[in-house]
Amino acid sequence: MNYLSRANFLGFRLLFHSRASKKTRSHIIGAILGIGASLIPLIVVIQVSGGMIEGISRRFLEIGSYHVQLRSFTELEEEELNYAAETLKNHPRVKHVFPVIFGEGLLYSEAGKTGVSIRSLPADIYEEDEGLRRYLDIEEGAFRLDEANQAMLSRELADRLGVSIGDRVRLLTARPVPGRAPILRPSIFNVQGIFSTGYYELDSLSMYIPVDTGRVLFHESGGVVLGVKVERPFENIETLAAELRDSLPPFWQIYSWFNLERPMLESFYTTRNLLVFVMFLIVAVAAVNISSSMIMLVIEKEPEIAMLKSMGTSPRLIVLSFLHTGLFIGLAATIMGLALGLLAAVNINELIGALETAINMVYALVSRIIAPTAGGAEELSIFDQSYYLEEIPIRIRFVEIFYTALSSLSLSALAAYIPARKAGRIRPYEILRKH
Amino acid sequence: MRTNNDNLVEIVNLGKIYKNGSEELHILRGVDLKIARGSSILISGESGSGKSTLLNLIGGLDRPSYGSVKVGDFMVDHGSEEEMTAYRNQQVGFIFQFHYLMKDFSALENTMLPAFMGGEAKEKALKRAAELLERVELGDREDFYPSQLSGGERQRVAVARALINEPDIVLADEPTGNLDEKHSEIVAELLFDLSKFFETTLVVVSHDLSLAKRADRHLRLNEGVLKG
Ligand SMILES: Nc1ncnc2c1ncn2[C@@H]1O[C@H](COP(=O)(O)OP(=O)(O)OP(=O)(O)O)[C@@H](O)[C@H]1O
Ligand SMILES: [Mg+2]
Repeated sequence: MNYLSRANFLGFRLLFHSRASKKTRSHIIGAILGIGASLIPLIVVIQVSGGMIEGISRRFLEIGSYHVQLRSFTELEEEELNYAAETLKNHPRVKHVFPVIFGEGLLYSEAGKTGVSIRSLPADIYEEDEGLRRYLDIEEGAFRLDEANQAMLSRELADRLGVSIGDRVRLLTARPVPGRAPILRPSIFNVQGIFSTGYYELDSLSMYIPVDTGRVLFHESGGVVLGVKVERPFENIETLAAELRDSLPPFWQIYSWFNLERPMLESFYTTRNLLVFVMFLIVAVAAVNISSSMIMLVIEKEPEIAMLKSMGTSPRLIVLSFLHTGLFIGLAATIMGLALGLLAAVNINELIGALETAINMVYALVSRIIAPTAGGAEELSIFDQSYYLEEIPIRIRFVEIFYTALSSLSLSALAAYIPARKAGRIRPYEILRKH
Repeated sequence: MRTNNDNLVEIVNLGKIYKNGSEELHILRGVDLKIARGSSILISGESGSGKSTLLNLIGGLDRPSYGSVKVGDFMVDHGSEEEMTAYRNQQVGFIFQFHYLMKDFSALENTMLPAFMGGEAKEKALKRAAELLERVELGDREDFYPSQLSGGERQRVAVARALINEPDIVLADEPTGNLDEKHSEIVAELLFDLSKFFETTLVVVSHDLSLAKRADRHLRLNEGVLKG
């Protein structure tokens, strides 16, 4: 303890109280600013990517894969479905069970046509399932699927087909016939509402129709699924899925969201880790500045170090003192970097917005100068919403902040080690001889 | 660590050769010296004769080329790095020719550093340092930094610092080197009186022959050997 307090005393003094030359001092301040600045992108990447991954996973969980999915590859009678649904509801963690029938088709409007992927959902799902309600934004109209020819379209789909509430669309579906060409079947739907999830992959070409209509259209293609929503979906979902399967007859296959979305999540995390690694390298490069500025400090403090050694200060204590100096520098940089990084991360949506506005203004100006006759400039958007969330949900992750701070401090200590060792090796006699 | 022997320092056939490129500088050529415990000695000699070199060898800041230096029971020429550190801290007090004080530390802190670095609690070391500063008549300059002190004041702080660990031996290299006559007197008086008071052996290296009257012995370093 005494040892550390001595190192602390020396380290602190040699840095802060120091009549170090302007040059050395500005070098040290430069090192602090450099590391602080390099921490900003690291923190932004960690916080923002965490927010995006969480935001995207939650949307997929509530709207895409649901928490747990049950599929049967044998054709099921109505009673078997109901029996399974009732059995599942007995589990204390199960909140909601509903049938979903998946299908595909071609959707026509007066303005055009496009392929669609269809989910047939029960009419009351929007009221019953709070998770779905939370992430499914009804932009126009209302969620209504209680009559056979009602349909909900995603914003993307509605825009592509140029339809809005009350319009009629024509859906062409195919019915497979063994050994022959499939039979095509047209049906008409009334657009009741237009929704958006905020995430492109979930939205694009997505259409909801009543479950009974789906049963008629897709009965033979056999895509009946039971969607399950549970309490605390992020907790032990695999165990829960296994419990649910064991309570049902063996022809049910069960998949947890984790199972269904694993490839997507893995690719997110790979990308994120890669980014974090690159940003971390930037911090490491910035930390080299600690080494160089501290070498200057050590050279400048040679007489002091020599004097300390001559009065019987151990080389180890001197090394430790300079490691402390490095830690002080690192601490200042870390506090600065964390503060600015968090500020940037918390306001990332506004920052991106401001940046886009600025770029678009410049772009518009430039295009007016270059080509004054051309039409209005196209709007540029940094985060193409086809790939990202419209708005990044930000929640401060303290554990990750802690590790960021820890690694930046360790890097600083590591960078300080070289000059510290140099200080420890100074031979007092040679220094004290000089004027 | 008293021994039966009356001599604190025993130097036998001490030699120091510096290699300057291909050139060899034979500075000390077999110095023999015994210094009685508690006595004071002045070593004079021309510039470049090797006075500082000799002092550094006694203080364990440098290693001899041949010969031996024994201080108390400690063979200075044979010590490990760790032993040398402890020796310099506990048994030696230095007053240097050029770099007197640490400029980032106040007079009080400068004085307490050897005690604090030696492992004494900070409060206690500061308290003793304050007492010593009183003794060198700098009680009112405790919080001054070296840049705010005069040359004589700095040297008095250096004297206090050299004595704080109550060392067996104080090695002073030109303690009055850059001072005017009046302040030389003040510093010299303090140095010799305090050494007496603490029963510390004192080795002073200086051109200043007026110090001779205060020292028990006066030796001259000439052509690498000591003469009476
Ligand atoms: N590390 C070294 N390398 C080479 N030569 C050295 C070294 N240290 C001292 N010398 C030489 O040894 C000689 C004696 O030096 P020293 O400092 O002991 O003299 P000094 O008697 O203290 O002189 P002054 O009175 O000027 O302080 C000088 O010529 C010096 O140049
Ligand atoms: Mg000298």
